[in-house]
Amino acid sequence: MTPRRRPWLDLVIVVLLFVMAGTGLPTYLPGQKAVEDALDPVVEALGIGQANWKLFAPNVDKSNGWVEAEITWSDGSTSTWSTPDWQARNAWERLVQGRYPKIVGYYGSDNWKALSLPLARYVLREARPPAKGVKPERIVLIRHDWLIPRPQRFERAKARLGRLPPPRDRYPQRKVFLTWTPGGKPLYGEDADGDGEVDPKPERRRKRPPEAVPGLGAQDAAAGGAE
Amino acid sequence: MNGLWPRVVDGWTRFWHSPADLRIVAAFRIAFGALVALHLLLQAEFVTLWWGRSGLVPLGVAQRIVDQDAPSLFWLLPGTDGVAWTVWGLTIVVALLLSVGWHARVQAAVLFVLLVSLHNRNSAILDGEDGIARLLCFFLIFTPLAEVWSLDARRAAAKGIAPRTDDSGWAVRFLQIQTAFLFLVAGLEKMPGADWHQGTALYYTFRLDDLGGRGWVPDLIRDSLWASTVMSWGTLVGEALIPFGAFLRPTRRVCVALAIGFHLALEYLMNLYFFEWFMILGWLTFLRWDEDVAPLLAWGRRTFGRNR
Repeated sequence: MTPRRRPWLDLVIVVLLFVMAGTGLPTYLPGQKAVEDALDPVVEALGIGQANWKLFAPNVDKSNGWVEAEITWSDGSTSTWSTPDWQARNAWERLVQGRYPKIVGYYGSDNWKALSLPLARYVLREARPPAKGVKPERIVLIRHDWLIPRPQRFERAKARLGRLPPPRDRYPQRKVFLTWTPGGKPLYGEDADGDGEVDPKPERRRKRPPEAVPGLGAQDAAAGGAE
Repeated sequence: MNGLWPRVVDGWTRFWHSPADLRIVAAFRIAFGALVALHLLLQAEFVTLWWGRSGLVPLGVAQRIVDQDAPSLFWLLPGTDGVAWTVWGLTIVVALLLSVGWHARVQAAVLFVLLVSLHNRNSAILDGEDGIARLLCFFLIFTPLAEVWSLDARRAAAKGIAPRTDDSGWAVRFLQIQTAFLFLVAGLEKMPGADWHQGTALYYTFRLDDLGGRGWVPDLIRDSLWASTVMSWGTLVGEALIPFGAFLRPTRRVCVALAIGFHLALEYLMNLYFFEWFMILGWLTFLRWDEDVAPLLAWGRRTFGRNR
């Protein structure tokens, strides 16, 4: 290393340290968000920005969820598809399906609405029609969730459900996040009456008395549980 | 005060520009390439699902959900399943070529471009391991990564060229700093969280059906709020102190051992795909071959070699 090169190298080091801190430190620090926003276009284009290091932070996600698709065929029959059952996986499946939980966690969230229709299309491509010539008439995507009860409610919930987390078919919360007729306009919610409008039912469901939800205490429901 | 500035400059120069330990960098390169190849190989059955036209995130949707400045080779290529297979396969090949050290610096640079391309092609499946792999790969480009234990080194030796032992080790410092920085930020991000203050964080993570519940844990620990409190606070304290201690000579070994132990424990308890292994690799760059690794290897040979 020649002395002539080192000042330039020192400058590179300082810039890289600045980029690291500017795009990686928590945004609750004063001024951090502004620095991050300013650096973002350049570091994103170069691929050297820090990733999201919020590992179970600031709080642990308390929601366990899975996604189900219900297909109605032109002959009136129905079939279902679902994301993997995390609890039923063997060691190999847990390893190779390591990326699955991330995307499944996004389904049903308003921020990730763009993922819903491709999922519906994927499910329809993968689905086997019940008979030749039968076409899919409608697909409904449903998210099922169970919020982990607070530790104070743990024993009560365990007595009620047997084990925690309970088997996924006992997850009490159900949210339709897409209803779609192939060729038609996707509806981001439930359209049970088929009038082409999203039903207000999910809102009413959310207002169920918390005590009626197995494994979920009033405080947990009030707190919302998941981040 | 007169002597302060020269001391700062001297400290800076020693910290950043001391020569790298060539064997540690080479060991890192070999393991990193192999790990990238393995973690992609295990996605073989999901290639079209994650990155293909017939998958969960078609090209147009991928461009809508990712940052508008984010580059990807996929934006320049047709959004077909064939392209997905080609880029995936090429990334594995390049990772293996990096591992064996064939034109290693070029392979590291190409691997970085391919990783960025794959990550931006489907940002809905990204997690910690992708971020740390991408950034470690970036800094690896600038390290003396193939001076020993590589095809490049063998070719150079055949020409009578000796390994360069006096190059600045600045990029290896960045491998260390990136690893420690991630660990520290993971702790800082937890600081405002009530779950961590109240000690209930581990109680919740044990009950996550997707990420938690991997290794068996006795109910006595799993259901105990005391155990959760100790582990939650232990995580906060560890993530705050280890990143600094790893750079100090008296505490370096202890901190690296604690960090690796922490990641191995998480690997046993949780399904975090390859995150823990990339982090462990990062922590291993804090070791020195002659001081740390060679004595361990000698001990291993003494202990296990004679019994065979």
